[in-house]
Amino acid sequence: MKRFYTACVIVLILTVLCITATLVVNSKMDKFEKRIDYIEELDDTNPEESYKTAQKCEEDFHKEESVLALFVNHEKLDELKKRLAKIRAYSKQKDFSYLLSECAETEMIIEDITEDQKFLFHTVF
Amino acid sequence: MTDSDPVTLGDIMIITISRTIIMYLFLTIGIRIMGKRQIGDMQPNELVVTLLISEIAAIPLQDSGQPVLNGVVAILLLVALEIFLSVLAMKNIKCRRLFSGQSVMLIRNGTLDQSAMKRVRMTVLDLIELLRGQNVFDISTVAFAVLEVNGDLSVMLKPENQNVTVKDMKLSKDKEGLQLPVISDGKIIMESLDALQITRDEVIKILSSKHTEYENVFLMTMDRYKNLNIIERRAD
Repeated sequence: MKRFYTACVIVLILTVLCITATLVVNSKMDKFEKRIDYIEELDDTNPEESYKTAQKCEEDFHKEESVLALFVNHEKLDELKKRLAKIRAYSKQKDFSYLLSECAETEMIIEDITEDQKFLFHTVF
Repeated sequence: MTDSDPVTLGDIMIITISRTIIMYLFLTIGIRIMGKRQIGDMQPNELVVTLLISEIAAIPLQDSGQPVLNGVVAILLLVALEIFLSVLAMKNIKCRRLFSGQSVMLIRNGTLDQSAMKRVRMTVLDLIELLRGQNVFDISTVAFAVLEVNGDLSVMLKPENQNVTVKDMKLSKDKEGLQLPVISDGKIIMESLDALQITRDEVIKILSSKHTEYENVFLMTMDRYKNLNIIERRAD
C-alpha cells in the first residue's frame, strides 16, 4: 500500500502541475494578446504609443520566456519571439500594413499556444 | 547568456547532457516506484508501460524543442497508473483477468488440451520447445502443464517421473537454513546479525575459535542453525 500512496501523491503533484501550467500559460498569453490587440487598435493614430507597447511586449516576453519554456514547445516560443521582434521593427518604421498583418499572425500563434493547454477534442486526438 | 549570444555546439551538448541526466533520474525513480520485475516476468500491462516509458523518455532527449516536463509528466502518470492498476488487480479478480489475462492449462492429467492450445495460438512445436526449457524432453512424462500469464510454462511431472526426495527415501537430513552473509570483505553486516539473532561478540567468539579475526575474513556465511562457511582473505 506504500506504493499506492506514492502513486496518489504523484497524481496530486501532476494535477497541481497541469493546473499551474494552464494558468501560467493562459495568463501570460492573455497579456500578450491584449497588447497586440491594443497595437492593432492604435493602427496609425499613435505610432509612438504603438512602438512603446511593442517594445514593452518584447521585453516582457524575454522576461517570461524561461517560465513559458517549461510548458510550451520551444519552437512555438521561438516563432512568437520572432513575430514580436518584427512587430517592434514595423512599428518603429511606421510600416502599418505589415504591422497589422504581423499582429494578426502573432495572435494566431498565441491562440495556438493557448489552445495546446486546453482540454479539447482536437488537442487530445 | 544574453539573447544575442549565439547557441554554440557546447551549449547544445550541455543541454543534451542535462536533459539526459534529468530523464535518467526520473526513469530510475519511476521504475523503482513500480517495483522489481524482470522483463520476462512482466504482466502484459507492465510490459506496455515499460515500452511506453522508454519511448516517451526518448522524445525530449531527441528533440530539444520539447519541454522536458512533458516527458516527465507522462512518465510519472504512467507509473501512477501502473500502480493503481496493480492495486486494482490485487483487490479484484475480474480486473486482474481483464488487465493481466489468465493462466491456461495446456496439459491436464497427461492429456494435451488441443482447444486450449488453439485459444492461446500455440503449436505443439512451441509447447515442446517450452517443455525442453523446463528440462522435459518427453511430453508423455508430463501430468500438468500451465501456460502462465507472463508466458512461462509451469510443469508438473507424472508421479513416476518425479525426482526422488529425502522424504520419499525416508532419510534424515541435518537441519539447514538460509545462509546469510555475516562478514563481507572484513566488514560485519549488522542486518544479517539481526536476521540470524546473534550478536557481534558471538561472531567474534566463533571466529576466535577458528583462530581468525573478522578483519581477515573475506566472506563468512551462516544460517540460523549456526552452520557456517568461512573464506579467509588472501595475504596479497
